[in-house]
Amino acid sequence: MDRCLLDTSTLSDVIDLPAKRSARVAKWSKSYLRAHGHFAFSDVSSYEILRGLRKKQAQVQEQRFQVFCRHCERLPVTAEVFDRAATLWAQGQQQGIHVDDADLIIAATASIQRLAVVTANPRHFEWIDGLPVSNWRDP
Amino acid sequence: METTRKLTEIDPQDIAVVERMFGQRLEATANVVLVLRTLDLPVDAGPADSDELPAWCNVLEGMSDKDRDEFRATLDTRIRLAHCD
Repeated sequence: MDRCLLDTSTLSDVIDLPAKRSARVAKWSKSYLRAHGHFAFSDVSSYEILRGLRKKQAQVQEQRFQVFCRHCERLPVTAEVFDRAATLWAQGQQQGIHVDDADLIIAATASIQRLAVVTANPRHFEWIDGLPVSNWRDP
Repeated sequence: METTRKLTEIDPQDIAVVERMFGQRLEATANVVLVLRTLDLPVDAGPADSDELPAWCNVLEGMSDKDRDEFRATLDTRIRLAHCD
C-alpha cells in the first residue's frame, strides 16, 4: 500500500469510523495504519474540519481532533504548494474543468510529496496526470 | 483547573522549564497561564498494529446523528480563494 494523503472527505470518514457508512473506510484505515503508522493530510483539510467543529461548538470533539492531529502528519500549505496549485488550476481551465481551491491545494500537496490521494470524490482528482487516486469507500 | 502566575513569581529554575516548553525566552513582564484539562481519550491509546483502530481516531464520539450530519454538511462548502463568474 503506497503512502497516501487523505482529502477532507476521507479524513471526515476516518474521524467518524463507527458510522455505518464508514465500514470499508475502517478496514482500509486499519491496513494503512499497520503499514505506515500514521495518516497524512493537508492543513487545508485540518482547517475544514476545525471550522465545521467550531460551527457546531463541538469543543470536546475539537480537543479530540487536536489529539488526533498529534498522531498524524499535517502537511503545510507552502509557496511551493500554491505554485503547483496554480499550474493545476490553469490545466483544469484549459480542459474546461473547474475545481475547488481546496482540492487544488490537496492535489498539489500530494503531487509534491509524491503521495496518492484518498478521497470519496475521485472525479475531483482523476483528471490530473500522474496523480494516483483511490477511494476507501470502495470495496 | 487554571492558574495565572507572573514570571517574577516563578522560581528561576522553573522559568527555564517553562521556556523549554514554549521554545522561546520569556519577557520579564510575561504572565504564564496554566490550564489543566483531562481529555477523555488517552493520547497513546491503541497501538497501530492492533486489530482495532486506536481510540484517538474516534473524534466525533458523543455527537448526535443530527450534529454529525450538520458537521459533514459544512464540509460540502469548500473554500474559495477567488470568485469567478
